[in-house]
Amino acid sequence: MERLTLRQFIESALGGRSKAPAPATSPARPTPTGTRRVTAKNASPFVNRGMAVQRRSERIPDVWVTNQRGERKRFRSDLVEGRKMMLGFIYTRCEGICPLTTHNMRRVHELLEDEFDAGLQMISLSLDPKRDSVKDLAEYARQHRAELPGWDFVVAANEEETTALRRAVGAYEIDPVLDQDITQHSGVLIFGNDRTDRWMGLGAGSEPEIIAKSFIRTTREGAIARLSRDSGPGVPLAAQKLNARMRAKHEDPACDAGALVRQAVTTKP
Amino acid sequence: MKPNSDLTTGNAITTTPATGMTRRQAIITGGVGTILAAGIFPNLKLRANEWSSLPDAPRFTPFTQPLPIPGRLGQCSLTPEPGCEDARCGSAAVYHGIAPEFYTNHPAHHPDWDRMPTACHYMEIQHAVHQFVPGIESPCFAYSANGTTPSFPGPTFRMRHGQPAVIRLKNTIDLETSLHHHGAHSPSHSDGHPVHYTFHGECRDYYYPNAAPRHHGEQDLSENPSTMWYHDHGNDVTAHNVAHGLCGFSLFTDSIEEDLISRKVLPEVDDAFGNQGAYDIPMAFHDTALNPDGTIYWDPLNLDGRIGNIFTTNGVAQPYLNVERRAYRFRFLCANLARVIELRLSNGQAWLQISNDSWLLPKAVSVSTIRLIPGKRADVIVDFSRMPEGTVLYIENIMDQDNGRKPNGVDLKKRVPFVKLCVVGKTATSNSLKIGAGTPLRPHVPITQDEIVATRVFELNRSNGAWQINKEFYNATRCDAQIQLGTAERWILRNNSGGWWHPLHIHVESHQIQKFNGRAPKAVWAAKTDVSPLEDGTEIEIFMKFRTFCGPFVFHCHNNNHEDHRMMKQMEICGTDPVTGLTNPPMLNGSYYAVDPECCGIPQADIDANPQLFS
Repeated sequence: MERLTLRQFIESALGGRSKAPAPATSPARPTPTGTRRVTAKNASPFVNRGMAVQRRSERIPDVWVTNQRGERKRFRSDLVEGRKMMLGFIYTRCEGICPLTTHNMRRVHELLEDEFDAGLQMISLSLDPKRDSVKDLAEYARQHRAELPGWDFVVAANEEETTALRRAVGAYEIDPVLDQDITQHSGVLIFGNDRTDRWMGLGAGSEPEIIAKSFIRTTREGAIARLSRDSGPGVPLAAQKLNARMRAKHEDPACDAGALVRQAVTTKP
Repeated sequence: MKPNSDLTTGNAITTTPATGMTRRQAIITGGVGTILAAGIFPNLKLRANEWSSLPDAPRFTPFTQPLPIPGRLGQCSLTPEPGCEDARCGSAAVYHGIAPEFYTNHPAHHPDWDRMPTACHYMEIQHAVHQFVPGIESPCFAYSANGTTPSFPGPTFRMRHGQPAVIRLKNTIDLETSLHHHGAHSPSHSDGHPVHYTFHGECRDYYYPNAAPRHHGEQDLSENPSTMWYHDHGNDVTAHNVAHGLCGFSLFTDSIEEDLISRKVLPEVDDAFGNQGAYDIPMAFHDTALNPDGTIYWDPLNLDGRIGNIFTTNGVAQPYLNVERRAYRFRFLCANLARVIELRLSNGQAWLQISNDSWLLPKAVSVSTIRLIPGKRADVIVDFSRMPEGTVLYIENIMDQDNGRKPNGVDLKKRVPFVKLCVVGKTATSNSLKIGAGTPLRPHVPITQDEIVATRVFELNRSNGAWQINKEFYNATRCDAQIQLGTAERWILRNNSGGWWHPLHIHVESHQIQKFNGRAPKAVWAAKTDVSPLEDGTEIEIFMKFRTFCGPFVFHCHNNNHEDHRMMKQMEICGTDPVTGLTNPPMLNGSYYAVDPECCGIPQADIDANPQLFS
């Protein structure tokens, strides 16, 4: 091995770094270790290069599920592939977090109503296929006022396939005892956009506005465009409505916070 | 002492070169989970743990690439100038403007901040490709000095006490970003708050006064940092962005450290050309994993914490470093997302640890190993003068970990060499640095009990698979702690999350560990830190001061995956300036954004019709 003094080594390393970056096309021969800029759009890490790498959704098994209306669908191809999706986990006999999860999903459904026109699919997956029948799911949806368009309460054929589904989206416990305990099931809402291959999980107990905002930001297609005063094409309609609601809430004169704000602004020099 | 043989030969067990562990070993340590699960669901190939689900590391010959030293972020002139009319919040040139503290008429702006001219810098975030492993190009993001020189790690910031700096950051990627200067004392607008975004095509002027907070009216020089780092901190995308290359070093010196350098207690930080000093080597450890096509392996639905199986230092997998026969300062940074590492020298020589996170210790301490949790820095002095020419030794990680939950424990049999050190040169220089165990470095000014005005308790939880603090998820429009500017508080941090470890990081100032599970902390932990290890079932009591800057700051678990899944809380430092009477009222559920438009970084009213769109 060549023996460089450290000074020589550093000087050569720094000298190498200050050269202009290599052109964006990848050369046929190996390039020296280092970082170089690319400007090609397909260099975005979020868009997989369609080679050996799976889209995140490809890890989801394409098992048959039945929804609350008795319709049979394939989980991945019918409910996930090529669209935006939000998934929560429930079972109808749950006395824990499921009522809150479903309630929050319903409020998120309201906030994202325009997204459903674009094909957003909300899914509540039953973790209890042995006991949850299609009728149970229909009744559950009715009780929670969740009979809404674009929202399917589904159950898979058996426990094995249910477990495969939830593990495929990261809803599992490292501790196997905890993993088998249905009362400790995942309270994470998983959502994403299969077209951009961008996914996110948030606790279902978060405020619905927070979930909706994270959904809009995570699943958007293309860069965020800064808005003009008239809210141009860069902002989804759902986001504009969401903001209008939040602004109205905060500008409510009955709200103490609003009063404080106005007072503070007038005292600012 | 005989030199070690190269660790890739002579092993009885066949290994992939990048790891110290076979896949069979990995599955066995995955243990009970695999066996139980495989028995109940025989048709399914279930992942036992994160380690066994990682794609195989590509084969390469380790220790053939030299350790890169990141270049410096040089100064330049910025047009338009920071803070001028054309660079204000909402302008076309710098949409996010600059922190209000930049202006001399702001109540926090002290005349001491203007003794030296502002150093201006320009940096871009760019799409890039990087070679972690020789010959394999991985698409990533990179910080780019002047927009021309992308690197991973990014260009090193060079900060000096009393010299304010402005870094104009332009985002040319299509993801939201927010630059966090970790370990620095910065205004809220410049601190890298998760929702202080800089979107595609936008610029933000980050203002770093590089001023010490004040203690009894005088500058508290004990709070001046040494080794900081910077990285992305965007809400919900921090882990993704850091995994894809957005981090770098930031080195700070003041009169105390310069005095130590002039007395040869520490080596020069800069060489004659203004680049990194020859004997002061920053080393950022980052474990990663690559897909078969070379893209960085990334699972957005991994809420536990991503560990990797390719161990890089300064962006290169298992490099070598030639060292002369004298003493060196190594600045260790753990830039892992979730992996805890514990470093030792392969010949068993002790480290002389001189700092914990950003702050030089009151006295140098000799330690046998150094445990680095994600986000932590530790500087050490290693003296090679007594080793003969041709000695080969390794910086090794002896902490075994196969999932994002917590490490399994120190296991010498599973050690992985990170950096190969080759001693070169015939002449030895003993006493190249006049430092040993007990040498005084930076005096510590402890926070005392009588300064404490409030106590808060924060408990880390896990609720049905989701991460919480005090049973709440992070919400950028909610203030979880309103803190009076200029006071000190006692915080009790408890980890009750069912077996996970969490490195807890608090922005804006250092904190002082009073008790670690009821006992006084060891020497290296007894002064200042900014990332504290909350191991399973641990309780830590800290004292902390909140000085100089008002506004929202965050504190959170620094396991980046947990952080993204809202294991974070927001504090707002509020106070009344006694001279001007200007009050920064508390946030109260989103009203904050309307309170001080330039402070929050997102323009209001005339400029942005939907101010809360992306919070």
